[in-house]
Amino acid sequence: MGAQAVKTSADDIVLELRGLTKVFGSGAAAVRAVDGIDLTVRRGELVIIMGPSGSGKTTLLTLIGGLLKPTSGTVHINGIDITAMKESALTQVRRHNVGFIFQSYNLLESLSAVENVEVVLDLAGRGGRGAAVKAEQILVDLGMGHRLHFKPRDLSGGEKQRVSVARAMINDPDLMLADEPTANLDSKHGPEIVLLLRAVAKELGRTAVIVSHDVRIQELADRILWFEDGRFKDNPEPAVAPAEEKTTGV
Amino acid sequence: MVPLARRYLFSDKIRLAIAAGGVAFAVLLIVLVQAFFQGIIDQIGRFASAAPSDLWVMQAGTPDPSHGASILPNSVLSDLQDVPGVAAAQPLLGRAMQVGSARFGFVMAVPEGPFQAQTIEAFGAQSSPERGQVILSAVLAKDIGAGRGDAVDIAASSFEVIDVSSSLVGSFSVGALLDSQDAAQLFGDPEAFSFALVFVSQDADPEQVAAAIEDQVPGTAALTPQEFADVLRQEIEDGLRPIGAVLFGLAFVVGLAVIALTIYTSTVERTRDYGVLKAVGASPGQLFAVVIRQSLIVALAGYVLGSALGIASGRLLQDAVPQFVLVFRWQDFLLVLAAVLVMSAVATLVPVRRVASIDPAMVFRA
Repeated sequence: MGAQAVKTSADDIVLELRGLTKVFGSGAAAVRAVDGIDLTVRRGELVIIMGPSGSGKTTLLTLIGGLLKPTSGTVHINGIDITAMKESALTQVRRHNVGFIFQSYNLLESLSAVENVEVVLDLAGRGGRGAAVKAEQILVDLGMGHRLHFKPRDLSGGEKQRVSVARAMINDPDLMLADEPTANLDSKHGPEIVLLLRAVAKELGRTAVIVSHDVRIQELADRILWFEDGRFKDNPEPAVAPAEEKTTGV
Repeated sequence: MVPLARRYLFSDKIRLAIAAGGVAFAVLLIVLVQAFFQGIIDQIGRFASAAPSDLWVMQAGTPDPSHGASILPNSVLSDLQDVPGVAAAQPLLGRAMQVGSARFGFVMAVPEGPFQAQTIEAFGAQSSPERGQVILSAVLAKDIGAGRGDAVDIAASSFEVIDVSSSLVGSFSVGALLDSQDAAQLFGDPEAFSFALVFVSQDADPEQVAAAIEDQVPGTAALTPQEFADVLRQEIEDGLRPIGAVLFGLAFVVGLAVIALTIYTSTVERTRDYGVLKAVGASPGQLFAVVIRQSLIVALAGYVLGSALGIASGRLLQDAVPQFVLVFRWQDFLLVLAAVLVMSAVATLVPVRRVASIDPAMVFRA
C-alpha cells in the first residue's frame, strides 16, 4: 500500500448508531445483547471494540452490517438508515457499502484466492475479465501475488486473512467490519492484518470497525471502546475528531 | 465470472459421477423404451404402407390382422370391379400362424391378379415361391433358427426355406411368404382371400371410392394405406401406452430422486458458503441460480451420457436380437430432454428453500 493520506473532516460521518438495541427472547428470559448503543465513526477512523466473550460485540457487528434486525434504534451508514430497509435493499448495502472480515476467514474452499475475491464483483454485477484483473491487482497489492491461484486449504492463516481483507475491499466499501480478525493468527501476522486495515482506512479513506479482545492490536486503533453487558463502558463519542490530514504508512 | 456452481459440483467428482450416472440410467431407460415402442409402431405401420395400392379392403370389423383374420369370399373381387372409381383389385392372403416350433408369424401369399408381381415386390420379395417353398423374413428366420435349405413347419405342413430376406415386410417384421395355393390350403378355404389391394382410377378420389366400396360391397371395410397404418398403430399404442407411462414415470422418479439428493446434500454441506455469499451481498436469486445451475449440469450430463448409452446399447441389442427393432427419433430425444429439464427444476425446490432460509449472521459464529 502507498503512504498517501486521504483528507477527512469532522462531519464526514460514515457510521452512526442511535439507541441501538437488540433483545433476544422475551419476558424473564429476555437478554439485552445490545442495550441502547450510541456511536459515531468518521471516515478514515479505525475503531476497535473490545470486551469479554459474550458481551455482545459480535451481535453489535451483525447489527451494523445489516445481517440482523435491531429490536429498536437506528444504524445509519453514510447517512442512510439501514434499519428500515427491506432485505433486497440491505443486500445492496452489504454489496456496495460494507466489507466483512471474519474470524475464521470464511473463504470458499472450492475457489482459488483470486476467485474468492472476484466472486464479490460478480455478485455486484461487475463480473467479467475486468473483475479478474481487479481481484488479482488487489491481492498483489496485499502481498498475495504469489498465491493468486492457491486454494484456501493451501494458504497459511495470515494469507487467508489477507484474501479475506481483499474480498472485503474489492467493492470499495466505505465501511469495513472485522470480527476477531486476529484470533487465529500468531503474534506476527495478527498485528500485520490490523496494520493493513489501518493503512486501507487512512490511505483510501475507508472506515474500519474491529471487534476483538486481542490486546496486541490496541495501539493501532484511533479509538478503543470497551463493550460489556451490551453497553460501552465509557463514552464512545470521540473527544476530538480524527486529525484532518492524519497519515499512516504501512 | 467465477463458475461457482461448476466448482461446487466438481469438488466432489465421485458424487457428480454417481449423480450423472443415475440420471443417465433414467434417460437410458426412457430412450430405450421410447425407441422400442416406436420400433413396434413403425413396423406395424410399414405393413400397411407397403401396399402399392390406393386402398386396402378387408372384412369389416377385422382391421388388425394380428388380432382377427380377415376372410373375404372371392366374389368380392368382382363386386369391387363394379364400384365406380375402382381400376383394379389385387387379392392378398395373410394370417398370423405358428411358424416353426413356437413362434407366430404373418404368413402371406399373393395370388394371381392384375398387380401380382408389383405387390410381391412391394412386400419385399423378388418373386413368389413355388409350392412347398417359403421365403422367411430375417427376423423370423433368426428367431426360429432356420436358414436357407432348412425345412420349416407352418401349421401342419412342412416347407423348404428358399430365401431369407431382410426386406420382407410382415406384421412386426415377422413374415413368411408362400405360394398362394399353399396359403389357401393352410387357411382352409380356397374360395376366399384376406385383403384386396384396390387401385383407383386416375381421376377418382380414393376416399370417395372407399366410401362407395363400403356402401356397395356389404361386409367390407376400405381404408387408405395411411388410415390402415393409423388403425394398426393405434391398436399398439393403446396397448403399450400404459406400460410406457409406468416405465417413463419410474425412470422420471429415479432421475428426480438422484438429482434432488445430490443437490440437497451439496447444499447442506455448503450452508456456510451460502451464508458467506449472502453476507457479502448475494441476493436470494443469485444463490438460487447457483443451486439451479448445479442441478442443470447434473441433469444435462446425465442426459448426454444416457442418450449416448441408449443409442450404443440399442445398436448392440439390435445386433444380438433382430426382432428387437428400435427406432430413435429426434422428437423423442427432445421429449426426454424436456423431461430431464423438468426433473432438474423440481429437484431444486427443497434445496432452494433451504438456501432461502439460511441466516447470513451464522457466518460470524466461529
